[in-house]
Amino acid sequence: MEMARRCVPYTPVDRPLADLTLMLVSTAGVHLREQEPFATGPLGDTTYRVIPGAVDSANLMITHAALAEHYDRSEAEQDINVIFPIDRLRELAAEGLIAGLAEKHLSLMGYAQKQRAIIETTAPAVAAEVDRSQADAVLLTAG
Amino acid sequence: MLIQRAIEMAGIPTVLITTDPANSAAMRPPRALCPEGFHWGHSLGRAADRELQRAVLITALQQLGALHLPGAIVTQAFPAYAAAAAAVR
Repeated sequence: MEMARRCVPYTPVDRPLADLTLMLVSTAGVHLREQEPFATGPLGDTTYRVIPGAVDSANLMITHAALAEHYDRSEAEQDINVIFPIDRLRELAAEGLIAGLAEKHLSLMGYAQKQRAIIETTAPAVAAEVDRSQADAVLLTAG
Repeated sequence: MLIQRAIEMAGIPTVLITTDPANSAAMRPPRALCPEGFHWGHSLGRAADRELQRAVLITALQQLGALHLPGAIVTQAFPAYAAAAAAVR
């Protein structure tokens, strides 16, 4: 059954923040240096990357089709936590504010003209990947 | 964000940090934080500003534990962001 755009999907949180395992999902174009970069052509990219949970944040980079004057990558290129706060989340887990981080995180590039592909293929695939994971909740950053 | 809606519909609660509240609001996010005045690309603030990043992150994550109106974007000011920009100038 299709959900109307005006409708807000909502899953209640059933436990304290300290008991939640978090996954990061970002559309800011983050990927491992050795992974295939996102396509920056006019149609964008509907694929996603799996970022291993044990990733070294220094091994992450950004590929994005947006112009630099719109999407300023300069801060994130010095410190990926500005758009993909993996180290900050690890610190919160060590302090006990959250239970931990998921075994993987997911990354996409937000500039994608193929909306039907996103709706029919990418979004369900990402949702299934999250559902199969250890994640109890997801933090998203947009890009 | 379509991706956020799909994850929420799969039964996993989500919270979004957005620097574009107008477009994000149109997508009816279950939970969202807009750090006021943050430029696109600066979702958590500034490079090497661990305290600012922590503050934004904790504020966003607290929506997972709070009662709030689904679809509403919480906007909050983080003065350290603008202060850092002023310092550079």
